[in-house]
Order: sequence, then C-alpha cells, then structure tokens
Amino acid sequence: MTLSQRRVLMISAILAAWAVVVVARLAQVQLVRNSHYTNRAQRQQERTLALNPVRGSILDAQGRVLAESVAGESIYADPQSIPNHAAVAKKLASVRGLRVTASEIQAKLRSQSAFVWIARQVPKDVADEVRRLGIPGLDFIEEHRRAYPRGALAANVVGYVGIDGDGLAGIEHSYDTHIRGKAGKVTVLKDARRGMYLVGGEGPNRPVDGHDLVLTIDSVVQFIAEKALSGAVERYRAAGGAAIVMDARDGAILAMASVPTFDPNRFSEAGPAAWRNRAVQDSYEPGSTFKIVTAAAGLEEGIVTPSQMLDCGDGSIRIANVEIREHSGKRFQFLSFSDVIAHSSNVGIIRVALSLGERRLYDYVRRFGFGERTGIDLPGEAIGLLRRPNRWSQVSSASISIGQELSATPLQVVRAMGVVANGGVRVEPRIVDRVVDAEGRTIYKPKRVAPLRVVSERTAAVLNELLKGVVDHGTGSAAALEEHVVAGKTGTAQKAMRGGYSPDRVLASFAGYVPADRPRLVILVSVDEPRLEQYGGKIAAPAFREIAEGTLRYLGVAPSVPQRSIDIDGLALAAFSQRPAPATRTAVPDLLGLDARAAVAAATASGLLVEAVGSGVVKSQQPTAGEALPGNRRIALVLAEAR
Amino acid sequence: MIIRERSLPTLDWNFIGTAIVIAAIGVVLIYSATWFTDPNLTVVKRQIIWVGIGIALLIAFMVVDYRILFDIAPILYGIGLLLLVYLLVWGQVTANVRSWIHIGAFQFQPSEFMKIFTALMLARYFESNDRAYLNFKSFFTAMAIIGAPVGLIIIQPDFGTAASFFPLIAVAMFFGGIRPRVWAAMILAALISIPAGYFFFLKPYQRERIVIFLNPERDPLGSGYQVTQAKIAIGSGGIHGKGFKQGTQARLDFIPEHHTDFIFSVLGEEWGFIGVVIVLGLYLFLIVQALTFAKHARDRGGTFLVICLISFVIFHVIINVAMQIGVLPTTGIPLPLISYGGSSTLMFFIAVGLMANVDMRRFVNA
Repeated sequence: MTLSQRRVLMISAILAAWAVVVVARLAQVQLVRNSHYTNRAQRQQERTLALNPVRGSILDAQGRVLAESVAGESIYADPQSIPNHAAVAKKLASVRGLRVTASEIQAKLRSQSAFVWIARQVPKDVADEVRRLGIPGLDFIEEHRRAYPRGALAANVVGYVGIDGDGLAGIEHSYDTHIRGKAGKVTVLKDARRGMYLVGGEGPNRPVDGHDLVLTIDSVVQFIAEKALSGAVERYRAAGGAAIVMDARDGAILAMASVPTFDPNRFSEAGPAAWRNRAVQDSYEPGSTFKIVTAAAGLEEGIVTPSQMLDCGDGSIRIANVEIREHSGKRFQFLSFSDVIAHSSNVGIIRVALSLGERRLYDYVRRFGFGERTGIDLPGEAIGLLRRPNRWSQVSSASISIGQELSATPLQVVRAMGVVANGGVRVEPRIVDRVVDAEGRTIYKPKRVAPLRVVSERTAAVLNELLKGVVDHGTGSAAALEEHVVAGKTGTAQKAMRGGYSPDRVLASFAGYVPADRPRLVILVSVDEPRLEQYGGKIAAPAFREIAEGTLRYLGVAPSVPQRSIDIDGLALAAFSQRPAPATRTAVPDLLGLDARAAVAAATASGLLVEAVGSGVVKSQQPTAGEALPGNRRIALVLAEAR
Repeated sequence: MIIRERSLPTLDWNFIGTAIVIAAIGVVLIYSATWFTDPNLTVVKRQIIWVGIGIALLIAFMVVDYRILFDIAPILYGIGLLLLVYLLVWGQVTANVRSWIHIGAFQFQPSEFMKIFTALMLARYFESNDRAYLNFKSFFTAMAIIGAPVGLIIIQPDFGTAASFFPLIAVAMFFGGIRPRVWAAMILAALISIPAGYFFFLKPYQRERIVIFLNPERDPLGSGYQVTQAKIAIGSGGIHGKGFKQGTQARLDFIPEHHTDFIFSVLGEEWGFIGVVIVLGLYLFLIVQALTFAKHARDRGGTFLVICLISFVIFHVIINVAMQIGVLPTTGIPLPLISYGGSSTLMFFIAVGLMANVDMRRFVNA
C-alpha cells in the first residue's frame, strides 16, 4: 500500500464517520422529532380564520333603522416586521380617522406578539388612507362595524355591541343569538411574508348572516317621550328618570326612555349609570300610583263604592303605634272614596286596605303583576320587592296599600295601569315584534301571554271614573289634555333609605292612560330625585301631557272630547264633573256660537259650571254675556246644530 | 485482456450515470420548490439548459486527455486570474458582491471555474513534485497557487466561495505530505488564530452567524431563521416525506433560497428520510468511485487531480447538508449538481468529466 493509498483510506474513514453523524442527525430530526417539527410547520403555515357574519339590523315598528352593520376594516400589525416603530407610530397618528396617538401605537408595537390590533372597525375611507401610507408590516381585514344612525335614540333599549361583535346590553344582548348570525370558519395557508392563500374555499363553513329584528318601538314616539322626559329631568335638576309609552290594546311598547342616556356609537365613553335602562332595571317604591291596586281591590270586593264617605282621621291614622300621615301635611275629615283617590289621601286608602285584610290585599297586588317580572325581552329586568303576608308586620298592609314597603319597576306600574285601561284585563308588555330574514319573512315571533282578567269590567269602569277625577280635579290636573280625557294617578314616593325614608329624596311619577274612555296609550313618567320640586303632579304630569299630546297627534287619534256636536247626557256628565276653577273673571263670558267643548272650557275658565241641553253649537246662554257672575256659579246653555 | 484494456479507454458509466441522476433529481426538486412562486417555470427551464450544457462540457473535458489540460493549465489559470481581476475593477455589484460576469441574459461566476483551473494547476505542480513530504519551497508554491485566486475572491468579497477553496489546501497538505511536527504546529496555530480571528477579523454579521449556529432559536426571525425553517422543513418530512410538490415550507416561502443553497431541505420535506438517505447514498457512491479512480490513476498528476476535484464535492456536500440540519453555520455553499445555479452546475459537470477522464486513461500509455 502506497502512501497515497493509505491517505485515500483515511479520507474514506473520515467520510464514513461524517456520513454516520449526518444520518444519525437526520434520523433524529426526521424520525424522532418528526411530530414536533410537523406541529411547528402547521402552526406557522396554517391559520384558522373566523369569518364573521354580518349582524342583523334592529328596526323600529315602522322599519326605521335603530342599529345596523356597516362595512369597515380593521388594521393589525406584526410589530417584529416594522423596523422603525417611532416613525410608523407618527405616520399612523397623523391619520385623523383612526383616533389614536403616536404613543398609544408605540405601546402596542412594543408587544412581543406577532399580531396586534392597530385600529378596529374603522370606515373604509380611513382604512384606504392608511393603506396609501404603504407601511410594511400592516395588514387589513374586513370587519363590520355596528352603527346606530339615530345616536342616543332608544339607546337604553337597543343597547350596544362590543368590539368583538357581542351584544353587551339591551336588545343587542337579549336577542344576540338571533341577530349575530353564525360565524364561518376557513383554514388558510400563510406564507412567510404573511400572505394568505385560501385552500378549502368557504364551503359548508360559510358564515350565516344574522336576522333583522323589528321592535314595537316607534322612533317618533320614542323621540317625543325622550324629549319630554329629559325636559322634566333637566327642569327639576333630577338625577334621572324613565318614561314608557305602551299601546293599551296589545301591550306593545311604543317608547321606553331612560335618563341619563348615552350614544351607543361611543358607548365606552359613558358609564354604567348611563347604560342602565331604568324602565326595567330599576325598581322603586311606587307610592301613590300604587293606590289604584288597593282601590281596585276595595271596589271589586264590594268594600267601598265611589260615593262612600270615608273617615280620613284629620290627617293621620295610627296603626300599631305607627302614625301615618297625609302627604304634605294635608288634613282631611271626611272624603268620598272618589275624592280619596282624587286627592290621594293616604288615610282613606288605608281604611280600605284594613277592611280588605292582608290576604286579599296581597292577592290583588299579585294579580296586578307586582312581585313578578313582565318577561319583556330586555336584559336585567328587576323583579321588585314584594314580601309574602306571613312576613308582613302589623303595619305592612297599610304601607303596601299606599305603595310603600314594596318596590316595582316602572314597567310593572305601566302593566298595572294597563289593567284599568283595558277594562280589568292584564296585558303583558312586549317590545320585540318579530325577527325577519333578509327577504323580510318572519322567522320568529315572541310568544304572547294570554291576557288575564284581574278585576271585573265594572270595577275597571268605576276605577276609570275615579282616575279621570284625579286629572280632572285632583292631584294630576297638569296631565289634562284639551282634546282628550285623561285618567291617571300621581305618585310621590319618598325614597327608602337605610332605617327609614329620606325626607327630601323622592321619586315623582305619573301613570295614566288616554283617551280615558277608549284607551290607546298607557303612559308612565317617573322622575328620580328632582331637586326643585317634589310632587308627581307637578313634575311628571306635565311630561305625561306632553308625551300623550304629541303621540296621539302623531298617531292621528281623533279628539275624543267632542268638538262639533255633543251628546246631551254625555256633555252633562262631562260638564258636571269639571270642577270650577277659582273665579278669575267677574263677568259671564260670551259663549254664543262656540261648540260644546269650547263653551265648557270657556265657562270653566270663568269658574262656571255648565248645564247644557241639545247638541251642536251654543244658541243661547243664561245668564247672558256681560252679566255679573251668578251666585250659584251655574250657566245654562242651549245647543243646536249649526246649520 | 490486458491488451484490450490498454487499447480501449474504458469509461465508467456508473460514475457518469450517478452524476446525471443526481442532476436530474436536482431538476425535479427545483421544479417542486419553485412551481408555486414561479408559475412560468423559468428557473427549472434554465436549470435544464444548464444541465444540458454541463453534460456537453462533461464530455468535452472527458475526451481531451487530462495531460494536455495539464499543459495548458497555466494559460487557463492565468485567464481565470485575469477575469477575477477584471471583476474587481469593472464588475457590477450584485448582492454586495462583485462575483458575476453578465453575458446577455446569462451570468456566471468566474470563481466557480477558477476552482477547476486551480485544481488543474495544483495537480500539474504535484505531478512534477513527487517527494513524500513537502519542503518549505514546494509548500509555499502550492499555497501561492491556491492563495492567488482565493485572495482575489475574498476582496470581492465572497467568503463562501473563497472558503470552498479550503479543500485544495487540505489536499495539498494531506496528500502533498506534511510532517507530523508541522501538523502539530499548524493545529496549535489554528487554536490560537480561531479565537483571534473571531474577535479581530470577522465582521459582526459573520460573528452573529456563528453565535446563531450555536443557538439558532435565539433569533428565530433573524439570522437563525433559515436554519430553524430548514429544520422544520426536514423534520416535518418524516420517513416518507410529504410527496412531490407537497412541501409547504418551501412553497410558502418559509425557507429562503429554497431552490439554491437550501434545496436539501426541500428534499428532506418532500422525500423524507428515505429520499435523503438515497441522495446521500448517491453522493457517497460518487465519492467512493472517485477515490478508487484516484487510487488507480496512472500518474501522480491524475491522482491529485481526482483528489482535488472530489474534495470539492465532498466539501460542498458536507457543509451544505451540515448547515441545514444545524451541524454547521450557514454559508453560501450550494449542493453539488442539485442546487440551482449555472456556474456551480457547470463546474461540477466539468469536475465529473475530468475525474472520468483520469479513470479512462489509467492504463493508456501516450
């Protein structure tokens, strides 16, 4: 063997050794660690993308859009592939529509992750502006943005949607499953430059868009209610308030307002207090509005009649060492039951409650729906507080009869008022009318609860007269309308505090319905902690009037107080129920040629009670115009058809 | 028998066939690596042309007696040096390096061909120098032959190619013959100069390569990225591989240079462990054949020529494979006959041709 041959052999040996090392290493990488590297390859190459469905719209009863999804884009970045963070942050901050500062972006880019959101759901034009900057490492993805074209209108009902498309409050939350649709899924291959290649296509995993939702809310009525409510809240510098307008006939909620409120387009700028829907989420002691329940029970059980005189105890009643007084220190001696309601006498109504007894009172309270949710399609509905009689104290039935020692949501009060409006039948309030698909076909209709008779039609009719009296000549006169007769009840509830009642924090409310004899609307206004005034009749009743007037006009409800002709008996009844206002004139006004309604109004304004015969316009009056006001304050009119 | 063998030059078809099979595998792998990003298949088509030209050159360099080439070696070597100088003065800078000469649509690297010319020159020198051990004069002459082109290539600066001349130095010393005490001195010098070179001569990015080689996960998105991605590709191939055109790592561009220096990872991903072992087996067969040629060569010059040329193949395969499985740091060393690239493909075909040339003429007296 030559030297060279030996050397060739050595080379061969070295080569063999090398081959062993390499093959061993290959075996380790490819055979032993195969699954490890396979996983790593998959992790960096495949990405499962959720394909977001388009969220359905929320429409009002007339098809007006309250919430919709508009096309937008989200911008994300891989911080590691952006070389100069500071410069990129500065560039992005210069794009106004993004609403981000350079330091915010820099903080985001500091992340170790390969994926950070720069901006979510920005309008297309803003995304295009960013795209034109040509910043490497930025990427764009289509993401729909939730928009509320009417801003704060019905915000507390509609709610809002979080950045990831979850309905977080209101209808957006309670009907999330219907309107959100179903997300699709797609696996894409990602290349090293973060480009994406679709592999499987969309196939069976296509996203299913959400359905649209039609509410019973009418934007116009909602607007009227919100305006009246916020007006009252501002005028009396109150902490908040709620207003509800319900269709008396079928329980459809036409408006539900809550103050304070917020703009759902920028919900995060508001707080939980503004997000609350006070109409269903807050419960409070209803106070005097609750007396309708006690009154209904007393009438239904035959304990009391409207004309029955009740001993009002000179302003106070003592039960088991607790003295209960009238509101604002009033002292009544004897009042007819109808005046007990009209003047909201605590003592009078307590007398009725005492005759009823705990068990019967409790039954009626329950039948009117207290202590039981309305089941409306809104999240977080409060149930209110109602103790069972076995946990009542001696004074409980007295307290409850005047709306204390229990609490209720504004919506529960509206439902109870609806019982009187509907002739004794309880209708459940509802706010979602139907769910429709893209072609407008009804997909789902919430189940309606069968109406429940609570009191007889006769009792309801009597109660109706009593509640008309409240507006006509009682605490609720500020709720009266010119074209319609209003029935309702005021409430001024002292707010319960630890250990008793607050002397100055009250909840002023008015609940009623209109037109009284053929009810279309049940309306409630409650104002929380007004500061300049306390009485529901002063604070809430005018707001009620504003809402009722505007809504009836919008709905085109014909005036129910006759203008041109009048039934003689009806007129007499209506006229005599008008209580003369304090005399402001000394002479009899000229009523000739006026129609019945205008004549009655003018006479009443002069402090006169009207006795009328016939129908049409006034043909003659006694005493005649210009005479001194008669001592008996009565004026007789003869009416005839104008032609 | 003897007479017939003497009269008829014998051609080792296995040797040439193996080389052509390796090149064909290369074409398939390049297609698989580029069809997605290069739908016009320009890269594959070019490589096919290169392989064709390469086979032609193989035949040309096989037919002409290698001793005639020894005669003209100084001229070839001189032309090579001139081209390298030309590059330094007038060459265009491509990827920070002046190593390409552009002729029409094609471009080539004179440094690749310079490997052949230097090998020829070196073999020619050892042909006339038949001592068992090198003396000082002959050692420095050998080093000068290698050093001249290496120096010019370093100035380009293309360290990868310059480093690929290293096997010539090893051949010169190992087969030229160096006394054990010189070996000892050189190993000592290397031990001192490696750390010194690391700190004083290497540029920061080169140092980084070594650090990242030692710990590739340290910077998975930076310089260690290539190694990490190559390992993921090879590792995810498993035993059978993902199959032809199924390699997602290369297709999705995770492996940079996937049709050139990192083609081995495409092989590992698509053909798996079995494919890798087969290809390495083909190389090993080629190498063992060449070493046999060297052993049986008619003269010392032939032996040296084969040794020099096969040392290039050995060096490229070892370094290229090692860097992909994380055994050596990354350098720009292509895989012989498989990696895409005109100059290196032609160079290796010429080398194969020359080795066959020596083998063919082992019994011929002329």
